[in-house]
Amino acid sequence: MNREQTEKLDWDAFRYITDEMTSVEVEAFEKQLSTDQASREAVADAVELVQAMASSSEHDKVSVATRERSHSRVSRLAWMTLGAVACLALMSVAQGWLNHGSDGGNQPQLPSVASGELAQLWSEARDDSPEDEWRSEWLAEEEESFPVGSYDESEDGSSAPSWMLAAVSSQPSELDAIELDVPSSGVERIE
Amino acid sequence: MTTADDGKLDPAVVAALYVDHGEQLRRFLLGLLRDEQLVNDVLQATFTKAVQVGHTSQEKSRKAWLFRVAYNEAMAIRRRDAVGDRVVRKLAWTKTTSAHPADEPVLRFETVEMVREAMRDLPPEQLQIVKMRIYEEKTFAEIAEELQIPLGTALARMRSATGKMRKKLQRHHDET
Repeated sequence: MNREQTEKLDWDAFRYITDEMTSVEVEAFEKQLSTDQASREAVADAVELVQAMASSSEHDKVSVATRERSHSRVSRLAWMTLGAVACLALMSVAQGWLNHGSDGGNQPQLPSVASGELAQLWSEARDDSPEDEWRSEWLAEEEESFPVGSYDESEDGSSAPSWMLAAVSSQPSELDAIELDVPSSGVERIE
Repeated sequence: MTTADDGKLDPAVVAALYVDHGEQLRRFLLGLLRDEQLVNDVLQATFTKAVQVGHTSQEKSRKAWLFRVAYNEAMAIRRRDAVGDRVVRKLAWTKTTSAHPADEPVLRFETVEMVREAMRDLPPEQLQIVKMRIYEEKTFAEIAEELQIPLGTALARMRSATGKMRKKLQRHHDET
């Protein structure tokens, strides 16, 4: 059997198993199957190919679903972190406002928050997160997805992200000024 | 030694035949019957016959003999159960299911990977036809209408795509 004949046989087998033959063609092909071993093996090969293509699509669907789930997890984590940072920032601003407005230091004061402390809080919040289990799972998946070398260790999540530190340190003079106003009877500054 | 004392094929020979050809035979039967359960039944009947009368076949043509027996058994079941009347248009049967007993071979991971790799190398217009036919289970007539191309063009693209994938698979089989 030459190459052309083999290719035609493979194509016929594919059309047969995908029901793309007319009833007359099916009848003729099945008659051929009763005697021709090459045709039988072509059917087996066509089934293998179509099964592999179909399985490939199933795998892709699973991959996409996993990826989407991972992204939604990252999204949740990002929003939770953003919320925590916003709360801390509000507390700082409120404290500053209270300190400025106080006349004798009799009012209770909230502790000031410096960038170092914020970084520590960030790390603790990440370590204590109830989502740790799935985060580990996600990190494992991500490690599999990214080739070695594409991972930037400076952004490994073990310290506060640079954008958060930048946001906190953007008004250092104001924070310092607030801290200078703290009377001796106030809460101790944590450094 | 290929025969036992009673003149029948040695069970070890039949077992070796199953190891060598069982997987290919299963796929062939799946193409004929489109039903895992029926395939299992026919496969069992075929190897039972191999034990009973396999010794009457020539050793060099034993593979073809097995396929012929399997074909006859499958067609008998189709006639008996009128399987042919229940035309399976969808490709759901191509998906591997849990109907496989644990000790029987399933579609190999390497085969799927090989095909996926071959699909990545396909020209976009061919890949589109493959996806529409296999994943979306559209007929070539539907694909041609949707893409506004002649039916012959849709068929030619699919034929070219399957040919490329088949060659890649064949090379892989030859290497392993």
